[in-house]
Amino acid sequence: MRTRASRTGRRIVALTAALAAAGATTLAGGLGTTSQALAPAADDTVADWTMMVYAVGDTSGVPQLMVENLTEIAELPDDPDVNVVVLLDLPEATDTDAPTSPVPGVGDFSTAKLLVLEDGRYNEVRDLGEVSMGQPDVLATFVEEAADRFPAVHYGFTFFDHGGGNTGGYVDTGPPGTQELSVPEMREGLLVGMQKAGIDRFDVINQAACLMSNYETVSALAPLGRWLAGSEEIMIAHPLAPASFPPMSEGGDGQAVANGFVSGYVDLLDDIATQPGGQAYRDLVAMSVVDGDAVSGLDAAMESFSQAAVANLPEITTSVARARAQALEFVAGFPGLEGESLDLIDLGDFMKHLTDVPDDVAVARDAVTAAVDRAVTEQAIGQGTQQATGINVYLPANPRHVNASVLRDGTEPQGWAEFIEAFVQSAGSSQGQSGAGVSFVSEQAQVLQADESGIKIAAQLTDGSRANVTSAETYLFTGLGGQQIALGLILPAYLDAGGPGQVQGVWSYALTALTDGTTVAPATAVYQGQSGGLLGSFLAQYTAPDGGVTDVGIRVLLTSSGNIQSVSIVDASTGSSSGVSLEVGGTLTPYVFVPSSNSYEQVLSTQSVEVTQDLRVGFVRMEKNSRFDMGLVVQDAAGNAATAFASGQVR
Amino acid sequence: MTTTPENPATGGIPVAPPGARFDPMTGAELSAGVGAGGERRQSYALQPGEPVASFNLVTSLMPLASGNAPQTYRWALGLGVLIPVVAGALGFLAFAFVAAAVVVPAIYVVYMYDVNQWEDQPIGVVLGAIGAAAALGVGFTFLWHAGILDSNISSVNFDGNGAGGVRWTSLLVLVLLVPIVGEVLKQVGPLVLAGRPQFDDMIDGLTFGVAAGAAFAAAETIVVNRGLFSSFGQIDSPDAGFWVSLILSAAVVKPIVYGAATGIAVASYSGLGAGYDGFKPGYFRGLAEALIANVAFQAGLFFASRLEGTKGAVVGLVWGAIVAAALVVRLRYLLHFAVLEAALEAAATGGALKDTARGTAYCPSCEMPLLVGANFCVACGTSVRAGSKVTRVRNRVDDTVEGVTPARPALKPVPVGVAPQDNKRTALVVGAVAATIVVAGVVGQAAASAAAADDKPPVPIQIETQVGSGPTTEPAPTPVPAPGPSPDASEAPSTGTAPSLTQGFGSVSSADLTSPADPSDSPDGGGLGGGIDTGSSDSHVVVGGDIGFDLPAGYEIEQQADGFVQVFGDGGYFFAIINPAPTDANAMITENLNGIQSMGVQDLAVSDPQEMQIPTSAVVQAVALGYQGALASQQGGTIPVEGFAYYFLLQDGTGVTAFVLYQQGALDVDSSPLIDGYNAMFNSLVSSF
Repeated sequence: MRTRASRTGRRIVALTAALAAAGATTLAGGLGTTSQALAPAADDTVADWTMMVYAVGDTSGVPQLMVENLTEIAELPDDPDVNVVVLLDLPEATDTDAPTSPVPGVGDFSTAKLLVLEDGRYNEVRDLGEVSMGQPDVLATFVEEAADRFPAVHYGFTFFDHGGGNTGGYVDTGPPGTQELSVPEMREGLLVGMQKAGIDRFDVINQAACLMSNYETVSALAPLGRWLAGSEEIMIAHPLAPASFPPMSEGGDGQAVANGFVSGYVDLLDDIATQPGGQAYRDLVAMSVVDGDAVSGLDAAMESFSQAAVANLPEITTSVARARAQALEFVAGFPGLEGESLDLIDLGDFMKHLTDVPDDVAVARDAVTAAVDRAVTEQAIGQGTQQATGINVYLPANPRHVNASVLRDGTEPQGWAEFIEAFVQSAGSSQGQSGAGVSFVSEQAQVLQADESGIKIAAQLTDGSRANVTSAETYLFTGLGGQQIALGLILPAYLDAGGPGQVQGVWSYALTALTDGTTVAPATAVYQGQSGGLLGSFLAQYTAPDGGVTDVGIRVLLTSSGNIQSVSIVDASTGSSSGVSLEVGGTLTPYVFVPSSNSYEQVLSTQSVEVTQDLRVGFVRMEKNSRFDMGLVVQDAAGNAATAFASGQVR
Repeated sequence: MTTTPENPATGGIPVAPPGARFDPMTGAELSAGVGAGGERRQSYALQPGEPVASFNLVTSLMPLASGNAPQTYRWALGLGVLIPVVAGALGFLAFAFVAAAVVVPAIYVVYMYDVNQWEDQPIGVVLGAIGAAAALGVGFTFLWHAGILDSNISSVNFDGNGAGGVRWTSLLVLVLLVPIVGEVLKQVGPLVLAGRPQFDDMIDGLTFGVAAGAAFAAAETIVVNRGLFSSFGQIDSPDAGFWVSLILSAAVVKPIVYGAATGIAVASYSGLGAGYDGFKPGYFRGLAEALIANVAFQAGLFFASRLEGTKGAVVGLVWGAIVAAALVVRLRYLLHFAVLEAALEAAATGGALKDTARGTAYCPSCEMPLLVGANFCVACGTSVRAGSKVTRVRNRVDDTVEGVTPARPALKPVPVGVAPQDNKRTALVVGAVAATIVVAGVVGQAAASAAAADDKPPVPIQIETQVGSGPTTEPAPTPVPAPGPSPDASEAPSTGTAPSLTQGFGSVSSADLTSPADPSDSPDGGGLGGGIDTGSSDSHVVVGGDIGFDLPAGYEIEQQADGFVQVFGDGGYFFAIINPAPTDANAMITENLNGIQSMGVQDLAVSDPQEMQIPTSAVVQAVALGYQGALASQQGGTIPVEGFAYYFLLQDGTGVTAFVLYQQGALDVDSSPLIDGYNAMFNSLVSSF
């Protein structure tokens, strides 16, 4: 069963995280009790289920939400046949990310503790001291010890922290040093622990983290888990849904628990959606459950696709690049920051956009599509993620920016790495070559329409360029953020609009901006056209009330009529992503991108907006007669670009 | 000179001197105090040192040598068998089988020369006894092996899990036609010879029968193993147990079975005493015995071949040895009692046998003087018929006639019951036999080397890509337009879809290949058209569920079960097997190769599995490999085979293995109908996924 949501939003929505954070700031220090004496001996009784929760809380942005989430779980009815075993590491109390509420039954701590949930509280089994949960041996030891102390018929495992898709995640920034689990390390840690514990396979592996419903990850972990639940998109608030626990008490299997993990999170977002501005998060959900037994078929299909695609490169290079550009992307990058993009796109959507290919590639593409559909047994999507099919995958958009380390990390799916390498090599082979890319007949774009509704410009591609175009975008430059000229907006452009080889761009004179009702702080925003709306993102610097500074990414869903329908905020300070909470009293300062030589410079806007109950993201129309330059930019697979610009004034 | 004693009082009938162990006239054991022949079972008339019921090949099949040179032929036989066995164990299969085929005939030719069996008519005897049988053997074997069985590359029916069912055509041919017709053909020459006065003795008939049988066996062995005259003539890592079993069978067992059976029949034709009996009841009894033995032998081999690999070969060898032993013992009894009864009959009627001692005569075995008119040596009991033709002629010449000087035997007497040794001629005979066998083997291996083609693995046919025959990808949704004025409608040029890179194989039309496999949607039963001349497809064959393929005209289903179909046509097999989910390519390959080996394919050489372009989106992985090997059995001979297999992993985790097996080189011929047939079946199979 797949859940779909389609709801209209308002023009300006609140940053729900801010609201949630403000409402949930309950200082409950002193409620917890350290309970080393309560460590239970290994129980001879075999429970029905043991759910292991690997909660990497000694990291940025997560600890408070994690403690809140674990507290919710503690409030579930006690069931002696279900063991909930948690390894939780928290930061030092002096850390700006330290939780403000205690863990029920344990209180405040800053080490890694092995906990078991009993009677609505967590009892400490063992204090591991300062260990890095970003190490696979710690993961292995946890699995072994949890299974040894709390044996069960069924085992489940939940990773809980930041996630980064194919790069892994679960970043422990605390002592003894920052470390994170790559996908191979996740697999290694689980596998070693399982072997020592005598666990053949987990019934379910949940990933309460962003972006981890990822092909490379499920391919590596499917042999270890029958059902795999996770999110293609970022996850916010309390990602470990308490709803995934009742199925264990009700005799459910791994699939039921995995489905509960997804539905529980969606329920959480539905609850948030009932709050003012809360719909934003619901619209960007992209959760899924993957059948671990079907992943081998998907692997085989992917390998076959890769084989066919590689055999047809460079012929299909442009088609691949075009599909890559049009596919639903999760946490897209910004101009000049391509190297920081996670380059995670929806696998099935990429295949849908891959057209104009030879028959053998088309057949292989269809096979992957069918295999994805077979593997993904449960999916929850929102208005902004209509094109999601359940699994994201790494495919770099720019051959200049390839994370080669993950292509040969030991668990990479067979074939896909070869495909990426062949693709980027083929795409990169024409970089900088004159005549190899795209060009316009004139660098001057023609204004087709300019009135109060907006502006429409057009430019004609030269002969032969049309076939090389992989992406077409509309760039808008104007003065903003205290900069005389900055990139204000990137919107889709329309290839062949009005005639073969003609590119058109449209704009409604509005920019994406943060506002508290009085102050409007525009930001440089990038939008990608999707069926559910225009998915956009921009960066801002968040200054907490205590002075802590971090970068956040703000993702929005824009309708064709110019309404911001959804908003979500992610931590942009690390390689992985997670939802963050904004506290009232803090400030947000948007980044703007200023053109520099052959690139862009990311600078802070001179305008900041306070985090209040009235904080909103809007698509705000510029003042009349404001001057701007509007350009059409097309690229080929190599990243070679051609531009055509027109200047104008807001009518 | 010793004068042959005689007793005038008996009117020329010899009387045993005091102390004689055997009666000179009847051969009866006097020391035992019983009548002639009645209880003489521990003293074989042609070699009294052996009991009648023993398995001595030389004294049984070469009775004329039993008197003075049995060890010579034992050495010759031992060395003769050792040569092909060693060659086979080393992988020189062409050498081994040709050498094995000529072991017994070579020994027999030397034997016939040694004992002057042909009585100075070597050409006529060799042609009649060996040449005719060999020629008829070649012709008849070609007829059933390449003709009646239609180059069917195995006498075994494959069921995907080993040799299972019974191919009735093969059963009838191999177990009835071959032994019955073959036995008749073997006897043509010997019967002609045995009808001539100079060869009408039973031992002559026996000798010609054995020679003809052995020659027929040699011809059959070479013809059924003619496939070895190819690249498979030499292999690097032979399964020694398997091949040695087959070589021993070819070198010893089959010639003995064939020879002994024919020897019994022809000896029965010759009958007792002077002259030949002809087609009397005795002959038909002997013929019946020969046929029964041949049928039993072939039936045992047929069913032994159902056993996997070496086990089947060894069981076949053992079974053949049992049949051979029974025939040899039967032959010995036949000869033994024939000799005794003939002598008894002569004694009763007062007549004399053809080889009755006259004048100066000596025992061919112990060289004691023979009584005039004796049919047996009174000292050792050896029949006067156990000597070579020279000895027998000498013994029956009455040298008391003026002017005739009897020749003295070269050998010194030996103790009673001890076989004489002929060391002087052993080296010559053994050397001649070994040289003949080696020369034959070298010729065979040279022929194999000359005929060997480049050792290249079979190249699988290419399966057409069938767009749209499986699940398809939905078109990408249209993105919403950006806020502002609406862009003009798209006027994109034609999609410019790249031309299919599918490379034509034959003239398969991809458009036709996308046709549904359901015959109701395809009235002609096939989705194939274009340039492939598959003829009218007769039916759609269901392998299991919705998976099936179109059967080209001229192909027949040989076995069909749920999830398995075996088809034969145009000289090649096509198999389709459904591997239940969950499976993977490695599991399918392992299972398939094990199955191929269990079919009896020996020394399987397999190419590396190769990832292939998936032909339809219903498939997530396609792997192909090629293989070569040999189908070998005692009956079917050695047939180099090759083939290729495709392993399709479907979306639901089910596997489909489709593989073929055909005689090496069958696809090398341009416009081979097998290629068209395989194309049709593979592509229609894929379209059903």
